[in-house]
Amino acid sequence: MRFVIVGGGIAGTTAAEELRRRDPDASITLVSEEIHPLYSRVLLPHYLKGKVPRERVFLKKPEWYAEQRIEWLPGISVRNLDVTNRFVSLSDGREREYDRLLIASGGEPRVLPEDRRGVCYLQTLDDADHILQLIHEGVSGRAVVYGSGFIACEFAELFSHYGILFDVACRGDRFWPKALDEGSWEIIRTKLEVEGVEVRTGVEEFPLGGENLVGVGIGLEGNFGWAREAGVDVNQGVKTDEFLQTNVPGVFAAGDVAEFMDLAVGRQRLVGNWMNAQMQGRAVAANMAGENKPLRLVSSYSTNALGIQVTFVGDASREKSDEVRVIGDAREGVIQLFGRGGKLVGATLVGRVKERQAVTDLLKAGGRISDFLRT
Amino acid sequence: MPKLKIKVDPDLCIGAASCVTIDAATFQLNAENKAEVYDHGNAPGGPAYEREIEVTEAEKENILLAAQSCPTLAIFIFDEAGKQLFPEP
Repeated sequence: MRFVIVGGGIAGTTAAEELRRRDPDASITLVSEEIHPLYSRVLLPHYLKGKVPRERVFLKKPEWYAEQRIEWLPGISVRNLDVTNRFVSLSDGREREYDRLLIASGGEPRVLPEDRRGVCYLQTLDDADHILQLIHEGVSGRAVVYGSGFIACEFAELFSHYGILFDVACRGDRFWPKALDEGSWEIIRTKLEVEGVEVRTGVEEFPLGGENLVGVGIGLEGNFGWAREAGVDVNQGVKTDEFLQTNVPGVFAAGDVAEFMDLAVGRQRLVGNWMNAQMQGRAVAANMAGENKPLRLVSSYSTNALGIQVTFVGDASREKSDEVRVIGDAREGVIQLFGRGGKLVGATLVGRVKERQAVTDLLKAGGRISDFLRT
Repeated sequence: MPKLKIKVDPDLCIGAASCVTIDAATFQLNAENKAEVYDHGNAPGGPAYEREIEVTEAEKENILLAAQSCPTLAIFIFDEAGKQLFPEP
């Protein structure tokens, strides 16, 4: 069996490792746009704050790939996919035939129209190195965080850690506008303001002014144009069923790029976090090897916004839910519970965490919002 | 049955909870959103970031998997002789 995996991040690498474990004789090719062996993007903030040395962010050594007999092609991307003859053409001119193909190419940060020294993103290790260099060179004046999600929070934490004064510019009217209600946002906004951060909202365009450090976190763009051109069904991501299989036989998708049928919440959606990418990497390998096991995972993620814990469980979308219950207030923290068709499908917890496990367990069990309110 | 020493570094833990998803009998989040170590769902002597527990081979594999799943490598696993099994030193 010939497996080709596009994407050397946690989803793709986990799938490669799992495929090797299952099939000692398979041919496995891992095409990776980045030149580094697998590292933890989640460790980048720790590296930036000096909590771990740079070498600790790596999860695989360069020699691991050869030891596993995985053909690792770093610094290479896919140019073209031919689903009829089952091969991919690569940026270095080579071609690889496959029996099963995995699209785990993740996403790339949306960028500002203008690129300039001092504008930074936080997606890759190279981005992190760039940020450190800028910080060590010294920052004059106030920095800006442009964005309203996890990456914006990381920039805020980072600037605060280094004592860099900064302001925040959000594209929408708050952080995570699709998920958070006014009360949850109030907790975060108040904390930012107490720390001396000016928060501007509704900043659709961000024209660069005199800032010499701008941390940009305005989302990811899926990296799958070549798959779309080959006839793979895409929307915001590459669409898959609960087996992570696309509409094209033999072609699968996993990780940040996959708009998968999430059985835990009952709809097709994109989930961009580490746990999801890793679990999907493992699950998709089983299915590529022929197991046909649906993935059922209550995905969750948590971050810290200048000391305020922010946690998302399941499908935390106000727009996609038909019932929302809010518990708590600014003093004790706010929980939002999202329901659809009578079932609990997601939650946000801001400024409190102790109910996280109970919410996760209830969601996993297919419970209702009213079941949670009774506990 | 093998014994393992399991240790969570609360300074590295960010509450991603992948360990809890993989092995809820050994890892649970506390009120600070940090993973604590449990002995088959129990916490004799109170909550702790470090614990020595007796496990079956299958449980050991799952605990190692949970440690490997941690995106900040905040979980450290040692065998009875004190040898660090994960992360590879």
